Amino acid sequence: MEDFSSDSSTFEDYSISTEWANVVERPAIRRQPTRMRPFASSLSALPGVAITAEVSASREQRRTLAGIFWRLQASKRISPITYQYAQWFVRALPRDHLLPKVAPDGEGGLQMAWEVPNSGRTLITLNDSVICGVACAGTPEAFYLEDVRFDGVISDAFLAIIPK
Amino acid sequence: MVETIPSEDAVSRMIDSPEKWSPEEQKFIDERVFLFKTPDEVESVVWRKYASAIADVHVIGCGRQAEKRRSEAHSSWTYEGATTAPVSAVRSIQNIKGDRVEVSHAPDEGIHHAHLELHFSDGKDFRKQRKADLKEAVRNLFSVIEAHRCP
Repeated sequence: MEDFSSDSSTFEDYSISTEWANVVERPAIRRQPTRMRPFASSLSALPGVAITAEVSASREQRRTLAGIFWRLQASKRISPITYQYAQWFVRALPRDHLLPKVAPDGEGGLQMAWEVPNSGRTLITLNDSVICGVACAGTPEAFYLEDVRFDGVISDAFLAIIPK
Repeated sequence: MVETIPSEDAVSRMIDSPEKWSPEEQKFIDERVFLFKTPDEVESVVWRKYASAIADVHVIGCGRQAEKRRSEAHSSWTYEGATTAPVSAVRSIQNIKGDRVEVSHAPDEGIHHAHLELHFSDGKDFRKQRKADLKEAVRNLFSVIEAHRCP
């Protein structure tokens, strides 16, 4: 059996800021005649610059998460299967939801956490392909979601407890 | 001899970096402060009866740092301080399934050594969620570090 005990010799900063702006997908650009493009682009760029920056930031944050997953797997803190499903989970997370802070759970799984103002935290643990969730963790209002096998789509029940 | 820890007492959790504390951000790595790994599902704390001043806890922490750093694999292990909570508050934790946290004396690693133990009520449903919920409640109690730098 793999030893998923902690190895403090290699520090990873698992914390990723939760103060990420909500990300709005860039609207599809309608094809226009070539001679119109420069003018049309300059107009649409006014709001588009900010949106593009946010999208870019979100992509960067997702890349950072992917890098953390890789390092956790490489140092055997999460199992290879958990690693694979963690990548899929983040890809499946709609962009209007916040990305989690992540940390190994010490048993080969990955714990994802979201701060929810005045409601404790949402905790979702990924153990290989199985996800389990707690909303309002650590508070009297806590409630638990049934374990589900993650099939690439995050169910509405789980999305409902992940803050936007 | 194993003693009963009264609820009026306090216990401290020693905090190290890089595992439980981020020196750069000066904050806890929340998910790592308490793990309660299976199968034991216990975590070590210092019973303040035998380390009544925080300086006494730091002495134990400095000793642990020296011991850890003897191993090359833990050469960067650093004692950063301790966080304290009343035993009564720990024992009052209870989740919606009736699971609790007990504090018990475990002098095998020194007279000051105690354990936080998860006590699950009947039923195996939602086991991981119940554990995560309890861990979070425990983590919320131990929220302020009394920092220290070993000489």
